[in-house]
Amino acid sequence: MTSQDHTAARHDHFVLRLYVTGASARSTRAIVNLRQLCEAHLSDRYELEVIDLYQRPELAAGEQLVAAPTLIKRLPLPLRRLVGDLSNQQRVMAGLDLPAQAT
Amino acid sequence: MNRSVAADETIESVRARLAEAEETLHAIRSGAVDAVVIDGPDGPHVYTLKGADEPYRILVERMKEGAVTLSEDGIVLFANGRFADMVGAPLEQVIGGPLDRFLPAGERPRFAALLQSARSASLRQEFALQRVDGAELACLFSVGPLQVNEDVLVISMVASDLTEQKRTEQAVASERFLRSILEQAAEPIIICDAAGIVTHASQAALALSGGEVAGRPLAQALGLLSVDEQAGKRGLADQLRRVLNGHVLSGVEVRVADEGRGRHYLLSAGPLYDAREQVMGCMVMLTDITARKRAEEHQQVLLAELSHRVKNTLAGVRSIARQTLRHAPSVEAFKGAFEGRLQALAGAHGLLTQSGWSEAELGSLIRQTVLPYLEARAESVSLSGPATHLTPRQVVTMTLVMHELAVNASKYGALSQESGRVTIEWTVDRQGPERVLRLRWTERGGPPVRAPERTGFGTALIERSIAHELDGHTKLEYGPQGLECDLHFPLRGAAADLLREAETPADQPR
Repeated sequence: MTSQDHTAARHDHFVLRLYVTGASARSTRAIVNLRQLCEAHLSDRYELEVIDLYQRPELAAGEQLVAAPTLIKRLPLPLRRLVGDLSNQQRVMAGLDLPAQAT
Repeated sequence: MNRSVAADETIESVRARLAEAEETLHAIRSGAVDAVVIDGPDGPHVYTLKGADEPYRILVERMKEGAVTLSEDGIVLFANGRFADMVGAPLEQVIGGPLDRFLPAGERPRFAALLQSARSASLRQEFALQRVDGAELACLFSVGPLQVNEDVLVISMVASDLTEQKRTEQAVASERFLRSILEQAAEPIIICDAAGIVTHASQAALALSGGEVAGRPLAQALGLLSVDEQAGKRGLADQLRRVLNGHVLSGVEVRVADEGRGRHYLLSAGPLYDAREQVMGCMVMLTDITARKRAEEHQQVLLAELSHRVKNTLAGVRSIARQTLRHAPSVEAFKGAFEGRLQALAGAHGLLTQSGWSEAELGSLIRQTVLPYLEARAESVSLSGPATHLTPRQVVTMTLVMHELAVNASKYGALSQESGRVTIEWTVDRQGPERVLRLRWTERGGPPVRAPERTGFGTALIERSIAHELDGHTKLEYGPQGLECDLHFPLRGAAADLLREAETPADQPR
């Protein structure tokens, strides 16, 4: 299947989506924390889309979101969800299947 | 067994809790709840799903300006839809990335410095946003600190699109430019809007119309300018309406009343188009052609006058030719007499041409006419009399008379002998309301003369033309001492007024 081929070919490429709610404090912190983590560990090999649920609710369709902020790792598989402001870097690293020693 | 039963009970309990949790999540996800209750360190918090901040979100979404919140290092944390429109990128590609990727590279250090200052103060600076499609958008950035909570410093930024303002500034500059043209234009220029209402008028147009042109309909404003009936005031108004429909009007001649004295103008008008090629008004320009018009009229008068003179001259020449022919004993005699008379006539025309065909002076006339017959004996003729200016008619007649007297004198009279003298004296006397020229031609020292048996053309001309042409009188006396000719005629016409009161003695001929 194409997606598997794609995944196999780009197994180290991360496609992330962060769902936030406007300029709330947790959303703001989630964006800042995630940017820092990505720049530190995934530089040049990640795509990040930050979606404001207030402004683009249609982009949440099919994501089975319960809370915001929620980070979804779409690639590499398996798909994972992390809820919260992403301030616990250890948990975020684990959630993204990144080796802990890389921190 | 007991362990197994206990395990089963545990599994059952977990299943039930899982079902409950899934049901709760489903209820929240499917919008079946209004609020979520969350335990906090100081008791439960109620989060309504449509928060109290919703009106503000709507406000932010609907504002005309781009609204952005930024992290300290310039990452976009929030952007409204308007800002995404301004940079031309989807919102999800704007939020989460650095804002300065929407700025030209050269502007990024200045923006970084602005952010640095915005941590503690509110500031405004102009920037050009670089859209994703490459176009630039002039903006005013208003930035300042926004403390969302204790641990995160957020910088708020409002980006105002300056395109409209720049356009307004440009319009103001264009307006100023237009005004300076209008103020300095020497020609009357009027500008109207699409409805035909005058919006601008040059100083010359204001001076011409006596002011109060702006705000009036074009036709009425031109009515103020009193367009001549001959151009058709109504017809002109119709034509100007056509200009507002996109036609060009060029070179319509109009007359504008100017304190009773008509001034002539060429009226030209053309439509003015806006950026969408729509007629936004028209420009009307008047070119003063009064001087040209007067020159044309003058030229017409001159042409008519010239035609008149040519006719008169030809009639005169024909009459002289016929009379000379009738009295000439031979072709040779005719030739000599006719050429002499023609020469005299040409001389009279020459004198008159010098003054623009208005007058000639009597002394000059006599010298020019008599001189050819003196040969080397200029001293044999003496002239004396006041400077007297004659009309063209008087000049022609007197030239012919003086010519005939000189010819006769050189053939039969005083100028036929070396000892002969001719004295020509004249005065100008007042006789009632008129001035009368009296001239005496006296020949002495020549052979005795007597009246001719047969009156030739020359003598007839001397005797009759003064009476016939100039309403005067001539008397010829043939005495043993020589010929005496007295003539007088009234100095009528404009030239008579030019008689110099301070009489100066006439020069002697050379």
